[in-house]
Amino acid sequence: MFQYIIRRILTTIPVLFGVSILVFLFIHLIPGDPAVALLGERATEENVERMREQLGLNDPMPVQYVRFMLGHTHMLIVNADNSYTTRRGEQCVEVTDAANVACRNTAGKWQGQQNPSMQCNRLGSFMVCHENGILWGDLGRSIKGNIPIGKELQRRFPATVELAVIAIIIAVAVGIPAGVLASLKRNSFVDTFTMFAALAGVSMPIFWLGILLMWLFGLVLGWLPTGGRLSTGIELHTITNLYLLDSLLTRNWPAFIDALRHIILPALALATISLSIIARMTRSSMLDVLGQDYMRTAQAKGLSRGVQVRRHAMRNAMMPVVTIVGLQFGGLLAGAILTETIFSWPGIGKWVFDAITARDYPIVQSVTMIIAFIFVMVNLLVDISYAWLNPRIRYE
Amino acid sequence: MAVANDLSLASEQPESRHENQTRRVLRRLMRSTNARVGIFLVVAFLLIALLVPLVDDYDARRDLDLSSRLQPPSSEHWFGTDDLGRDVLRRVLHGARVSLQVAILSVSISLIIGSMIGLVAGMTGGWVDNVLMRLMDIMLAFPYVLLAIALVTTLGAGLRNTMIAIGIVYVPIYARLSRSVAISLREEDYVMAARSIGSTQLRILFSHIVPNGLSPIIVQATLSMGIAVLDAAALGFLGLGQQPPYPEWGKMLVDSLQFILSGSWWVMLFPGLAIMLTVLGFNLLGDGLRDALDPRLRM
Repeated sequence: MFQYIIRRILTTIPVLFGVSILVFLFIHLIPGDPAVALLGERATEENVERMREQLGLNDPMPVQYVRFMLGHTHMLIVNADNSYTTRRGEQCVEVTDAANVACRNTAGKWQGQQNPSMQCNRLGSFMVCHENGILWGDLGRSIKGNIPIGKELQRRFPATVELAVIAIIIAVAVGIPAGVLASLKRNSFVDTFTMFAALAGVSMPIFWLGILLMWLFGLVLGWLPTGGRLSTGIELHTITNLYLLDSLLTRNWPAFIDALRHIILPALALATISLSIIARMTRSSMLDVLGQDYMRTAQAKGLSRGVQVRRHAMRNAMMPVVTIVGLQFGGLLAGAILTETIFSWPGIGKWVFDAITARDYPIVQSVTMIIAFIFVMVNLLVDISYAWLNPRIRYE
Repeated sequence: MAVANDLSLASEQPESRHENQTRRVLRRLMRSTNARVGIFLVVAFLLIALLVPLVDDYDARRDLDLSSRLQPPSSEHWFGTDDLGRDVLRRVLHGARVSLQVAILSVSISLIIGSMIGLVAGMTGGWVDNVLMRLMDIMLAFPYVLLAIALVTTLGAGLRNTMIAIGIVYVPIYARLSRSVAISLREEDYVMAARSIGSTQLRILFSHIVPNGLSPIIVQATLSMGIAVLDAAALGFLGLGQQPPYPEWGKMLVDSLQFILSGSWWVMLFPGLAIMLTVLGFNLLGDGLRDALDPRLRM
């Protein structure tokens, strides 16, 4: 099992590397000049040239890629007595401060840049300072407003995660029982109805369903709010930025109920496709298991129908369903772009939508990269958990 | 004479067998109610896309009637009018061409490129297979919609780029599928026999592998067309697809958002319904085809 995990992790590394190249290429494949694309058609030649210089577009592609990954990096060696040495072995007699790696060597010459925007982290016996560079988790700054993308992401990501988690909970809580029921009542009205609803669910654009839900429950019936995460006037002390969790932790019940009311409609819209896929998969997997010999044996033993289904059928039928549930998570993050836009949900989806509208490429690039990264990681976890559940896979 | 007859029978046999098989598949397909509904929906929307522009000369750039803004459905405007007084029914009907064009062309792009990659990988094996499949893995690391969004943002908004982006995004699906088909078929007895009589790889590919491995690819192509309609609408919704004033279902939906507050539900209901029915049609037909072509795969 350990060997399998290591092998699987190792295959993930080239994929992530490839993902980073692809994301890097997006901005460099823009037909024409990216600097013009960023500045607009009316930009003067001088400004375009300055932008090209600023973006480093005049450098060779591999250099640009390395900079995209590592940013401007500077490294010092931290000695046992907490003094610093440069990579060339020169002793630093003066280091400006921990967040600034400029180092004056014995000859009185400064090395590195005295750059206040550089971030420094200690990695073992190294002090690595960098500005930008995806590999350090530094995603750069947005074009509009020059906001650090990483910081904004930290603020917005919990909102999307909260939405995706509630959507998955709805999808599993409704999808699996619906699929099981349809398989047990095969070819009945319940089966036909459930499967038709599931097919309609996968055929429906989620943004349309979102609009319908908003119109019906928000505007016509007035039962639920149509946008945002919390009503104005409701106060919440945030800890994790997951409002439902935060309100539970601080026992702020009015905020909990309000946050729950806000999340129901967007989560329902987001859950529909996953719910339908899970229901279809559960039904087909259950039908497969129900026809097996051991089910007949269980019946012949005189077990009650409930025990047959719970202990024998569902346990075996759930394996492929678990995989599907895991794979849905990445899709949900992408689906959030549409759902969040409709419900003004302040997560990464709405942010990307606004960035697309404003042609803010660094944001689109960063969020694409983050979602792809999470997607690859979730796939990795699904594969590992699947191998753990099914020993045959490990030995392939 | 008898010999000549025998010869003509022998040459006809494969064709008639093929014809029998096609007829059998069609019969099985038509037996399923779901598939019949699917065929009806797909054919209906195809006819709308083909015939409406011929019958109705619609110039989206001149379609404006501010005196009849946001009118509810009536005998004059069956689906009501939008914020610029344009007839929603007319725009929904003309929008069919855009959606189906994206579906058919983007799926064709991915089908051709993806199948070629998959067949080459499957037939050659070794490092070629490894390199090609790792490239496909990288593309699969992105959720489809997201990769399409990133591509269109890069290539620039518009209908042509939407088709290219969706086409590229689906390439790995066909590459993986046709590779698995090639791998499973290349060890079959008839392929071995063809190889032993000295047939070239290309001949084996087009005379044996492609015709015998077509079923799963046809099913996948049908299902992908539904997904392509959804993805095209999503890109349109994000403002990356067909640009206004030309009618596109996704764009019509996003434009309708601001009028829902004033109770103009018809502006959003009909374009969404059109998307859903088209996708449902492709899904029902795809499911039906899968059952008809290979009953073992029935869900």
